[in-house]
Amino acid sequence: MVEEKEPVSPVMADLREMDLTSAVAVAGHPLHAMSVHFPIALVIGTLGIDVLYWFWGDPFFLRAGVWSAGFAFAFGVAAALVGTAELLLVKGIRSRVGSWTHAVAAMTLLAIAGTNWGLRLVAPEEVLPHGLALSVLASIFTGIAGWHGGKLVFDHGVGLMVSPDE
Amino acid sequence: MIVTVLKIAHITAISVWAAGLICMPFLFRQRIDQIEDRDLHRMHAMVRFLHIVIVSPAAFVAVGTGTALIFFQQTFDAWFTIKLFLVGLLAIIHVLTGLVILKLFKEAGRYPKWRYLMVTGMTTVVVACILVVVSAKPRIDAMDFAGEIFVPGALGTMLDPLIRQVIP
Repeated sequence: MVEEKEPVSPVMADLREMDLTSAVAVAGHPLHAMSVHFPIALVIGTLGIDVLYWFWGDPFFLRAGVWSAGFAFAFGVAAALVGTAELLLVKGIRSRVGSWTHAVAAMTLLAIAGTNWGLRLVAPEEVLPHGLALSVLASIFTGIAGWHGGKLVFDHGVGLMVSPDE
Repeated sequence: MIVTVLKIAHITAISVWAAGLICMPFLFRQRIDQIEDRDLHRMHAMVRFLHIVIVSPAAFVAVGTGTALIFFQQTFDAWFTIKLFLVGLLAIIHVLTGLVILKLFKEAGRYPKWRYLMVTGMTTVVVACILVVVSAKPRIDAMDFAGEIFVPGALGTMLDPLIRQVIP
């Protein structure tokens, strides 16, 4: 954590004493930080697939898009369940403003990713331009949620598990 | 039945979320130069409580129930994408509000009047737009925007002259 030069207010001092250790982990590896890579890659991948479909016009990309948008949403829900468990179970995480803003941005991403998948199932003919627009919006929110999540882990040490011998 | 319950939760939560975001800049504005330490810490704790315990969980429930409703009601129309875009703006305002809380209570933290007026105004406009879109559910055909530019393969045709210059 970055040390501030000015005196720490009592409000923030209380916060610093709270535990930030991940509650949902396998063999010392926090699951949320491990699982978010999949929805991130799949959301951006769906945008790539849409652009390729726009470029080549090959219906293969239309079907590939259904699967990648679907798995983006499914893996997103899985990562969100783990993230929500951390958020609610760990006092030091749920008492942080940054955790909640990350959660809200990520939930918005899920809503967009879900719509993007559903649209492809119901109305594949609308993928250009409707699905493409949703893919762009989803990618923007992947950036916002991802940046915020990264800040929590790297700047604030949220959800880490530092083994006692380090 | 489940849709009704989800809808009640959704609308309740979104009301709390929107109200919280609209009133937050007013609270920020109360952080002035001549504030006593005791008052400052009390205000700091209060603003954090409002964000962490009330507004953010409301936003979480609002968007979560909204996502469930998408699949129960199969809303994949163009108006819904416009609504999602507007909710996205609200989420961005939420994120920025969170960043303000983290900075405002440091020694140099101030919230200028122009910002208070601008953010309150903007948030109110976004919330009003969401209400209009979800109430009117305007019939928009996404394909009206397709034109010839968005025909599958059109990007390749458009970029073809450029590609030929690079790869003859």
